[in-house]
Amino acid sequence: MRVVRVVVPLALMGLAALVPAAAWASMFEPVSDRTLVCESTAIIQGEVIQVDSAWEGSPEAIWTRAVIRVDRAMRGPYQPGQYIEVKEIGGTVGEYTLVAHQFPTFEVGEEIVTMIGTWDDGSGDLRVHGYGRGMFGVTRQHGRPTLATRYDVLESRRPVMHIDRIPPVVGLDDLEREMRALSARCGGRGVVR
Amino acid sequence: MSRLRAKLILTLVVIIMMTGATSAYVLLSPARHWQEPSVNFRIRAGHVSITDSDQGMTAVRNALNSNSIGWNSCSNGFTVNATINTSQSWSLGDGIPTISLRRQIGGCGGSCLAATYTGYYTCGGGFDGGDGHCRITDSDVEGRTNVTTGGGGPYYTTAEGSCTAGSEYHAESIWVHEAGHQLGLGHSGTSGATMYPSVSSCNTSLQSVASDDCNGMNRLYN
Repeated sequence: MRVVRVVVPLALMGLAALVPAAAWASMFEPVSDRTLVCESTAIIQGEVIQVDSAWEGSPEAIWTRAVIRVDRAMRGPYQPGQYIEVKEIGGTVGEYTLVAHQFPTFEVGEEIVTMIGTWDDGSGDLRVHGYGRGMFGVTRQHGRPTLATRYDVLESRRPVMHIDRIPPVVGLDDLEREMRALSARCGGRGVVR
Repeated sequence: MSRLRAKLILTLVVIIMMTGATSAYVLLSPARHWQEPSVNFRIRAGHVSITDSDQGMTAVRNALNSNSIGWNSCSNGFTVNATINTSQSWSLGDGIPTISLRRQIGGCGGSCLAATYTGYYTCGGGFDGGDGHCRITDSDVEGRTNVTTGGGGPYYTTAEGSCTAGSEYHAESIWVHEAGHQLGLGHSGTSGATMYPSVSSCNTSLQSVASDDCNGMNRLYN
């Protein structure tokens, strides 16, 4: 009983220390997972098949185009077996690398779960919706549950948004369940109800 | 015995959790910094949502140059100097670290408040200066499209004197934080540090660098 009296408050203090009093992001406004999901046009699980980077645009920047094979569709119009191309700022051309801080990056062969949106430049080009918060890397280990890790925690090793409903590291099945549940609560496209 | 074991396990859990909560600065990966012990930022454009005298440019410049609260307060021999130059082009890879409080390339939309782009050459092969770190050759920052959002935001400065909770964010704090990225720092696990990844609307504290931030700078530049 004494142990409980001493240790439980300590444990609660430890938990409290993990949660900042003010919990919004420095680069991004606080947007809930539900809003992110509802704003996205699609959510897919798939494998990155091809990655190409080049200087383009005005002002010029290194842009990366990644082709993703859709293996599972959790929201939106895409079907398994389809290929989609997403475009993000950053990448390597020759020996020069441009990093867009906390934007998603891609490697051929990696498995991801990602929210999809469109760039607001009128081009119709697809992008990861929600920057690093909108993409998860999938890790498969023999004999262990398959995990999905939110891209934005890879650097800071802690959640950037403490309003996240989805944990930064989550079982793939649980992630799909959450995505589908959040998606089911969206109104029309981009509407949170 | 079982009670003692439980106490030990729970104490360990608490220690691990507390350690995690106070983990220190993080360098960008791969580690990279500027060659010279000073960086001269050019502030190119303000933002229409900021209603002070020059749409926030002077406020951000002063925050970046501050010897008492900004990066120069680390007193590690490394200096930051920001100047306003509205004719400066915003160009990635040109070697001139340029700051714009408004949209330039269009990478920062939706919920994004500011985006930092850093360029460097592959480490080694004469590019690493001998310490194994990459050399940053350019780093530029852009904000959002030059329009206001609900409540007059997304940005305000201390000089404005008022902030609309939930829709306005302190420009000086945002751009001091972004300058940390431009200098080579990632997000810190230390709550209260400028490089901590979270700040609330109307919170001005990130403009003041903490000892953890300076520790990261010392690691990069000393």
